[in-house]
Amino acid sequence: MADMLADIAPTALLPDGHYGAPSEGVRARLLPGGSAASLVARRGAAAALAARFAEAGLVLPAGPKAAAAAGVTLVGTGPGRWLAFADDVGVLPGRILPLAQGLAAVTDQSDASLMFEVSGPRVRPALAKGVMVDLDPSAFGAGDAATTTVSHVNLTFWQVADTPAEAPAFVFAVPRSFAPAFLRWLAASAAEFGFALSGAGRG
Amino acid sequence: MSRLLHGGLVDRSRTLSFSFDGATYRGHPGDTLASALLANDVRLVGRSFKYHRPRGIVSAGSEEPNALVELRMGARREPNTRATTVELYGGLIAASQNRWPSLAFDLMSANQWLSPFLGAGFYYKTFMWPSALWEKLYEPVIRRAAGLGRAAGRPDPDHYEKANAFCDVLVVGSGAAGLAAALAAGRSGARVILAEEDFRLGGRLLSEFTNIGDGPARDFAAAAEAELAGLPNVRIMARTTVFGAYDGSTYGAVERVGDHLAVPAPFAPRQRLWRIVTQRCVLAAGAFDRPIVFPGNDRPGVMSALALATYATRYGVSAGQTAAFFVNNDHAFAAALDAADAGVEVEAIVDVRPDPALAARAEALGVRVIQGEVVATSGKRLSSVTVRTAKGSETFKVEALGVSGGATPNLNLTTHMGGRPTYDEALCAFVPGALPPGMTVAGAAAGAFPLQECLDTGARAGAAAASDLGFAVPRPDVPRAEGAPAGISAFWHVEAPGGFAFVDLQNDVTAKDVALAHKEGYRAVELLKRYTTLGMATDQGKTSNTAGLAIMAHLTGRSIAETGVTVFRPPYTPVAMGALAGHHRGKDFRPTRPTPTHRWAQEQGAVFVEAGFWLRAQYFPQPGENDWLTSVNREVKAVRESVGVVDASTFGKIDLQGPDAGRFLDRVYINTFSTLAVGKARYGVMLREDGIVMDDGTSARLADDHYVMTTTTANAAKVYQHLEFCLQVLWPDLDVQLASITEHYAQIAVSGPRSRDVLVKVVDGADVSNAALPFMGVLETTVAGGIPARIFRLSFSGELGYEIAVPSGRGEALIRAIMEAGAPYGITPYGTETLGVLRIEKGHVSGNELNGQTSARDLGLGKMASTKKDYIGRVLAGRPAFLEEDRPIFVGFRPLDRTQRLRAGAHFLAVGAEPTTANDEGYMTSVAFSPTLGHSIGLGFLRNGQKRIGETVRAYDPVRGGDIAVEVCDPAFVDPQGEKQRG
Repeated sequence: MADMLADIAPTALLPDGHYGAPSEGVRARLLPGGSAASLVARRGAAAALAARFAEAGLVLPAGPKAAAAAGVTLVGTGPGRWLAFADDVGVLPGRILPLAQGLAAVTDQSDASLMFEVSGPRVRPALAKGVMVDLDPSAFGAGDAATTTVSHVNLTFWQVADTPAEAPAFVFAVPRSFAPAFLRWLAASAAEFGFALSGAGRG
Repeated sequence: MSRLLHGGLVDRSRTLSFSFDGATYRGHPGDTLASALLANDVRLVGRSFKYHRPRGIVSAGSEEPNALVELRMGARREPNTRATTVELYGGLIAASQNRWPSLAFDLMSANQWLSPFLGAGFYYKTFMWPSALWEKLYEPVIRRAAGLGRAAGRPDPDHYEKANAFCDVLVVGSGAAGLAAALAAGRSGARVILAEEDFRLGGRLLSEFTNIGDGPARDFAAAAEAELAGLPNVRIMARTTVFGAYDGSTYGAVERVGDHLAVPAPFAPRQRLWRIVTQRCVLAAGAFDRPIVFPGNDRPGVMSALALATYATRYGVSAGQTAAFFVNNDHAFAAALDAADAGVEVEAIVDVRPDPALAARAEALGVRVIQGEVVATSGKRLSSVTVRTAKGSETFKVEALGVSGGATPNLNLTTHMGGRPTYDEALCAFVPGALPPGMTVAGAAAGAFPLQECLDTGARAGAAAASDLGFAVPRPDVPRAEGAPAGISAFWHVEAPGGFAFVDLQNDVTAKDVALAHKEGYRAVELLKRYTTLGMATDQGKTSNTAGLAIMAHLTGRSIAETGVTVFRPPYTPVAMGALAGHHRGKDFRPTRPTPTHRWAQEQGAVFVEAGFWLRAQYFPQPGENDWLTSVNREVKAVRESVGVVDASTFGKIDLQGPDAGRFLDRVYINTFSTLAVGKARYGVMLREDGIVMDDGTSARLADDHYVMTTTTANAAKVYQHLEFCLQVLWPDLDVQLASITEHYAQIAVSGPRSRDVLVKVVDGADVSNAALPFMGVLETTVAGGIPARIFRLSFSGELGYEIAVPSGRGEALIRAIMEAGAPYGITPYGTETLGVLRIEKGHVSGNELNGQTSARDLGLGKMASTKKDYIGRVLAGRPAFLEEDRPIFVGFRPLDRTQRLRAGAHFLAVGAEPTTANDEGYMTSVAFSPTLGHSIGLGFLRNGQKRIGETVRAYDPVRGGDIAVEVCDPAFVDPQGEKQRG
C-alpha cells in the first residue's frame, strides 16, 4: 500500500486521478482560489462585531461553526476569531473590511490555504484515520467546524451547510505548504475505499 | 492426529495447509496456529528464554508465555508471535525461535545444567568486571544466548494506519459479561463499541458445555452477536485488542485487519491503531487460568486446564492421546469434565481438595478423581505424571496435563491510570482496586466468576453506563444460566524435591529463584520482579504473577494482601511499531513543506535541504561544479559583486494589529518599537523569561496600529505561541490581534550592489530610490504587473538588499520576474549555504548562536536593550552571572595560518594552557570559508571576548584532532561599518 505514493514527490500536490480500490468511496476536489481573511475582534468588541455583521445579513458564528451567506463563509476558529472565505475575490476587501472597521483586525489570508472539498459514501471512515474529532452525525453535522490537527497538519474544516448526514461534504482549508502532505495522507487513508482526486491538475 | 472425531467450532469442510519448521500440516478455518499444531501432534513448539528447555503450548489466548513463534518469511517475518492467537490461514509459515541447531536438539539447553550459576540476579553478580568487557563481550554473548525471535531486518512491505473512534460506551471483551453489557447499553440507543481480541465473539462461552436459557451457551453468544450486529448504534470490532487506558477516557486499541491473511487485502492495512474516546468503559476482559508451581511443570504437554478444555471443546482437538488434570477449583474441574465430554481420554482429575463438588459427575463419566498433588513429570514431551496422595505416590502415563490454580481476573486496564488491585481471600485472587474515571468492571475481570454473575454484572454495568449518560435503558432481560459450583481452595506451590518448578515460564523463573530473592533481601514485590525478572517480557506475567507473590508471601510469613502486587503498564499485549507509526514512514514520516518557489528551484537544478518540515534550496550547482563549495563560493561572490536572489519565505511572519500593538512589542522585544515610524522596520531581539535570547528578527510598522513581524524559520511556531500566551495570559488588557501570515506570503530576498537595478524593473513604477526607500524602509506597492507586494529594505547579507513579500501563490511568478530583470547583471540564485556564509562574513548571529544558552549581552547585542521600559526577560538577564566580566562574548576568529580550516565546536584555550575544563574559555559556533577574504573564518563565544580583539588563542578540537592558533577579531569580517547596505 505504501507503494502507491512511493514514486510521487512529496513536494507537490498529488496529480488528479484515481487512487486505490476501483470504487469511488471518497472524492476530493481542489476548489478554485477565492479570497480569504482572518478576523480577530478587537478587545471586547466581539458582540458588537457580530451585531454589525448580522445587520449586513452575515452570521458570525459564536463557536466552531461555519455559516454561509451572501457569498461569504464565516468559520469560528476560536473565541473572537474567524476565518472568512469567498469565491469572489472582491468580496473580502469590498465587504468584510469595511464591516469590520474599528471592531476587528482583518488580515488577508487569500493565499494561506488551499481548499479541498472532500465527500463520498465512505468519507467518514476515511477521515477518521486522521481527524481526531467525532464526525458522527449525532456529534458533527452540517455547518459544524473544527480547527484541529490532522496528520501533523494544523487546519480548519467544516461540513458544508447544505449537505445531509448520509452524504456529507467537508471543506478543508489546508495551509498551502502542507497541502501536499495532507493529500498524501488523505489518499493513503481513502485508498481502501477508492479515492478520486480532481482539481489539482498535474500536481 | 489428535483432532477429535467431531465437535468444535472449526469448519471441517475446508482444509488449510500450513508449515511449521519446514514440515507441512493441515488445519481448518477457525483454528489458531496452536490448535492446528496440537491437532497435528506437534507439542514441542519452542525453547525457553534462559535454559533453552523444550516448551509446548500452555494457554489458548494472549497470555501465552511459551508458544512464541516467528510468523511469515522475509520482510514480513514477525518474531515472538503467540501461536495461541494466530488465526490459521492457508499457506501460513511459522518457525520456532531461540534454538540452535534445531528445536528438537538445542545445544544451548546445556544452560540448564549451569542453572546453579544462572539463578536470579546472575547478570548482576557475574558480569561485573572488568568493565571494559561489558559492551564488547558480556552483552553480545548474553544477547545471543538469551532473547527471543529475530526481527525481519528489512522494511515492512505492508501499510499500517491510525484511526479515531468515538462512542458512549466501550465494552472490552465479548464473553458473557461483555455481550450482556453491550446488549444492555446498545438497546438504549447509546453508541457502543464492542472490542474483542479474538476473531470470534463469545469468550469462554465458546469453550464451555453449559446452558444459558434453553440452549447452549455458544448459541446465546451467536444470538447476542446477531442482535448487536443489527443495531446501527453498535460497532463490533473483532480482532481488536484494547491495550491501554489513558487520560480523558481514551483507550488505545490495535485492530488486526490483515493478520489473518497471508498478505493484506489490496489497499487495506495490516493493522490499524485505534484511539477510542468514550464516555464510559465496561471492562469485561474475563480471567486467566493460572498455573500451580510444581516440579516438572514446564514439560510440553503441561498446560492450563481451561486451555486443554478449550482445545477440545472449541477446536475439536485433544492436546494428548490421554490427559489428566491437576486443579484446586470447581471451574477447572468442570472444564475437565467438558474435555471428557468432548471426547478427550481423561485418565484422572487430581484435586488438592477433599470431596470436590463435581466428583460424582466425574465418576459418572468414568473419570477417576484423586485427592493429591502432582509432584513430578517425565518425558521430553509429557509421558507420565507422579501424584502424591495420602496413601503414597502413584505414577501414570498421560500425554497432557491440564493444571489450574484458580482464576486471575484480567484487570490489567484498571491499573493503567494508577489503580492498584486488592486481594480477595475468598476468591484467592486480586480484584480491581481504584478504576480509571468512567470505567466499570464486570464478570470474571471483576472476580464475578460464576456464569450467572457474569451475565448479571455485565448487564448491570452496560445499563448503568448508558443510563448515566441519559439514555433510557430498557429493563435488562438477563437470561438464566445453568448453575455451577465455584469453590476454590488456595493452593500455589507443591513443595517436593526434584527438578525445576517454574513460576514464570517465559522468563525461566523458578520457585527457587523466588526463594533466593527472599534470602538476598529482594522481598518487596517491585524488587522481586526486577531481581528475578518475574512477570516481565511479552506476557507481562499475566499467568505467573500471583503464584510468585504467593510463594514470597509464604516465605516472609505475610499474607498475600500484605505482600502486595505489581501493576501493569500499557500495552496489554505487544503492539507493532508499524501500527504506532501508521502512515508516517518513509517520505511521509513527517510533512514536507515546499517553499513557494520550489518548482522553479527544481528547474534550476537546486540541491535541497530539510529545515524543520521545510525543504529549502541549499545551493544551485552549475554545470562543471563538482562540489558544493565551488557552487557556494560562486554564489557568495555574485551577491558581493553583483546580485543574488534567495527564497526567504520560510521565516515566520506575524501580523499584529490593534491600538496597543506598539506597547505590546515594547514588552516582548528588548528594544523599543512603539516609537518606530510608520513605513520603517527595525531589528529586534526577544528574550525568554529567564533572560536567554528566544529569537530575533525584524518588525515593520505599516500603520499606527499595524505591525508585521518576522521570526526565524525554526522558531516561527514557538514565537507565535509565545505572543498568544503573552496576550491571553499575561496582558489580556492589551488590545492587540495576532494572525500568522507565514503561509499567505512568499518572501523573496534580492541582495547585492545591483539589487536596486533589479528592483526598479520589478516594481510597477514605484520609486525605490535611496531617498524614497532608505535602509530599513518599507513600501507597499505592486510588482510584476499588479501583484500586491510589501517591499522591506533589509539586509542579512550586509549588501544592499530588499525582501519582497507577495501572496504565496504568486511567489513563483515573482522569482521568475526577478530572474528576468536581473539577467543583465548575471543575477544568481542562492540557497541556505550561501545565506550562511554571507551572514558569517557579516557577523550576524543565527541559530548556532541563539542556542538557548546565550543572553543579548553574550551576543554583543546588549546595547540594544532599552533601559527605559520593562520587557520579558529583563530582570533575569540582569543576574550577576550574566554580567560577569569573563562570560563568553560573541566575537570573530581567523586562523593565524590562513590556509588552515576552522571547525565549529572547537573550544578556546589560552596559548600553552592544558586542555582541561577549568581552562576552557569558550567555543566556536559557526565557521565558513569566506570567498570574499579567501580564508576560513569563524564566530564564537570567548571569555571577555570583546576586550580581547587582537589576541591569539587556540581553537582546540580533540574530536577531530584540531589545535589551531586563531586571532580574535571583530565578528563583522565584511564591511564592518555597514556602508554597503545603506548605499
